Amino acid sequence: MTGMRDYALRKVIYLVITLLVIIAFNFFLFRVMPGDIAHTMIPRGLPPAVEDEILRYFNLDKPLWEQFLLYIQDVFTLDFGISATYRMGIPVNEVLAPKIVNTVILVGIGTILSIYLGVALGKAAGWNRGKAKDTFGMSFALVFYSMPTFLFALILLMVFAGVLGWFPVRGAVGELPWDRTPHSAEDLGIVNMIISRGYHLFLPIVAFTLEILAEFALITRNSLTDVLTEDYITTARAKGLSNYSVLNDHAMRNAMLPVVTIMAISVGWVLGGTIMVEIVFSYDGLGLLTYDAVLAKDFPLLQVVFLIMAIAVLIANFVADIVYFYLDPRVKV
Amino acid sequence: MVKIEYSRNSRTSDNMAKKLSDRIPSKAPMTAILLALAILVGVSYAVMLGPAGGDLCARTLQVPGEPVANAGADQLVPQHKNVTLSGTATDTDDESANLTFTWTFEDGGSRTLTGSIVHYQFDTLGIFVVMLNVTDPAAHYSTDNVTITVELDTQPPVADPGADRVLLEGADNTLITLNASRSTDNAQIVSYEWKFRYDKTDYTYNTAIFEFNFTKPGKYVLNLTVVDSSDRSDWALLNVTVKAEPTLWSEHWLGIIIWTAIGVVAVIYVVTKYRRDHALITDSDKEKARLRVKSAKKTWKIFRSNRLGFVGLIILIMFIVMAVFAPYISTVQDPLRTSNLEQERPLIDPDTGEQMRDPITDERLFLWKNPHAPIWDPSPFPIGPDPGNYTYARHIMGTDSFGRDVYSLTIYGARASLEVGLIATLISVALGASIGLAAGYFGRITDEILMRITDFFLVLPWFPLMIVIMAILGREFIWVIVVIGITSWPSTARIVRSQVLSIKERQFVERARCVGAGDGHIIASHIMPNVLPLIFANTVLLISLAIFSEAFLDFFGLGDPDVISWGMMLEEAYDQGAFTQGAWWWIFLPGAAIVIMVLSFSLVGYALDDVLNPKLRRR
Repeated sequence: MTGMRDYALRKVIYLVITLLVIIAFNFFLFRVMPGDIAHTMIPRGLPPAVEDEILRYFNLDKPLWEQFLLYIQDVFTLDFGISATYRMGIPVNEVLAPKIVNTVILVGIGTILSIYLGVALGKAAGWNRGKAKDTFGMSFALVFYSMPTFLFALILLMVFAGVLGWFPVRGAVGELPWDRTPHSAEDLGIVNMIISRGYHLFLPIVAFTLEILAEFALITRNSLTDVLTEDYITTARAKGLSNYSVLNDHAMRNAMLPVVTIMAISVGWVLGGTIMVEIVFSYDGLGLLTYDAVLAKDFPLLQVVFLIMAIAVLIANFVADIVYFYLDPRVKV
Repeated sequence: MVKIEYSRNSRTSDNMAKKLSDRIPSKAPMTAILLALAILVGVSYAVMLGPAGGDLCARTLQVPGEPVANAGADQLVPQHKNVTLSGTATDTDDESANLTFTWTFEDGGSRTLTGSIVHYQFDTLGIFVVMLNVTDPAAHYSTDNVTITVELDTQPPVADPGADRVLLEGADNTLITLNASRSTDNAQIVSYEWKFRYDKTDYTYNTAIFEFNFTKPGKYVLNLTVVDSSDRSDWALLNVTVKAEPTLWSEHWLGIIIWTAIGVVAVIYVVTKYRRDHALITDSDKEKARLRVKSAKKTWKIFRSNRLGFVGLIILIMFIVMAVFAPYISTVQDPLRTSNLEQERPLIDPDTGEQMRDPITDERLFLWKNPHAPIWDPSPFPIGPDPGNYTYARHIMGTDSFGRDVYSLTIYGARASLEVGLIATLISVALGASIGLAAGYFGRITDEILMRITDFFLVLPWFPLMIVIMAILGREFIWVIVVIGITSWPSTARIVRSQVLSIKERQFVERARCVGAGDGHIIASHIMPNVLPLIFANTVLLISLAIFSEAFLDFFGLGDPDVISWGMMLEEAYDQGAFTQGAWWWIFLPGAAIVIMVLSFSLVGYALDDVLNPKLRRR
């Protein structure tokens, strides 16, 4: 498996280089843009002494290269300072930790579900190309693909949480299906906690999964229909292989290659979906935090959130590369 | 409160009773008893203490010309307040009488003030008893005491710079008066300070009221700081927006750019053509055109056979017609600014004069309540600033919370979506195609560098990136377009590069190089025409993505509030609680419009993909 090692090593080196570039990019993105970030952030009308104090705290009074060195140092010691406006004075790390957990739960479950269901839907549609199953499945996928995530989430919220009242309207934890008063996390106990989380997660996950699923289903279907016209599929049929074998052993193995690549690329899209779903359901995660940070013009917080998201996408791409290696033997050569 | 320590007149006790009755108005019986008691006490008091003298015996009759001093109510004032002492309530029959008012009290020494209304500033804390002496020319006099309690000033002042102003450049109203005198304080405001930056100069005005001429367009923030006599301060901001005079450019910039570009291209084409062939249309051109038409017909036939794509195309044409002819289709001109907010009027019951209520649900009823459900009847309230030009709009798809016509907004919204979709995609394709062409054609180190950059942008989470850039740049429509354009190019670059790599190895490129064609010529005449049709499908898909991103940015609260777009309508609907009020018409139209437009672009894109490159794997 030297091929594997070399391949992985090369990918890790790329990963590290890209990571460093992203960290630098994240710094300059907030400094090089037109518009004075420091003065957008600080509320107007403060006494000059207080303003200077804030500038000094965020190192904004120093020259750019010195700021950059301090920033690099802070990133590697995971010291992101305090939030500028969002609950003033609380360390950013403390703000972030519970939100990252919430978002990881939502995105993790949602992505796994949508990959599984999306590929299955695309597979069924592609295999039955031109039949009723294809038409139905693809019109379903196209409609969800064309619908902004926030619109679908809002309709779900309006119908199931608003009109019917079956699900909680907001929050990530607290209400129980049989007891609709909000509880604090300590009151609940471990079992009720899990039930409550699931109860709160249901609608966001449905909204998130259906939106992401649509894109994956479309890619899988297109890729599969391409592959099914290849000569080796005809060969496989001529050999007398069963439909199951043709589909799963020959067609899907090849059809999955572009799907994996596009899935990795569309993590940016996935994150957009998370942000919208979190805003609509007031689900207390990174997306809602981004929203709050933008509203409050809290650039230190926004910077950290962006860094985390960029790193998440980077890792997703790395994972996709490794999966690609297992799927496509040609990479080993 | 008037003290009845010593008074020559029984009226004072009547005053006292009145005061008591004022204080307890609802307890009539008790008041009556108290009143009786007070009169009794007052009268007997006066009888017992009154000095002997004939003129003082007439208790209920006032002696003509005799003044009765009244120094007003006791006051509790903050330190440094300029207290007004008024003796105008002093009772006298003789209005023209030349009364002398003398106020005496102790404040670090004996103070005497004269006049019926005097002002004095108490700088030390404590309780001061001020005695008012009223003397008429006949030397009849009367006194009354008022107690002034001076306490520490704990309340800061409240700065009030007035309402925000929106001015129009070149209009008469740019010279505005800024007035801070509505600022309040419990004591006294001693200093005003207006600070602002205008035309690269800092201005400071230390008066409450001043005039300033804002002639240059821009957004100015005026900071008003007021300080009260105890050195407590407050500040507030006033925004003055001077809108630039709408020029031909700012009104029609898009059209000017597009038509100029078309004109320039046409002129260049004609000129080069003449210089080369000395005729505008040669026979070879005719033959070429015939072949093109033939192949286009063939392509069209394939496209026609793709039913979904055809439907998508028809819907798109309908949207484009809608956007171009928006003023003729919509029921309300300029729907963003034509607000019917004043239409929200209560339904008055003619019998009671109060607002009518629903007999079952007890909800308050309105003649017109925004958001209003779709209605065919014209709205009862006129729209338009000019009384002669009133129009009565039919809100066939209802109104939103701001009283604007949802149908017209949706029609106009098609413009924003198409503009964003087309221009952002143009930017993105121009960027992506040039980078892809350069990387694929030149190869080696250029390829390596450009592809690393592309890969880097490909892994950047572009939704959050858009949010961050928009948050820094501010809510301008042009930035929305640019941001979407510069975040969506990497996929185009990759597709173009992979196509260029295969095309540049073909024989016709080699032949062109053999006859001495330069890189520029080969790229422009041989590679581009072969690559661009292949990315056409991807381009159409990018448009739908751009429309999507615009709606998302709007919903995130980062869209331009001055531009009508479907995303903005949905954001406002969400903000104003249309989803909980059940104002479906407000959500349904823009929501359906976005879905249908994105859907039709996707359908056309997939159909083109089928037609143009049946074997190309989308990456």
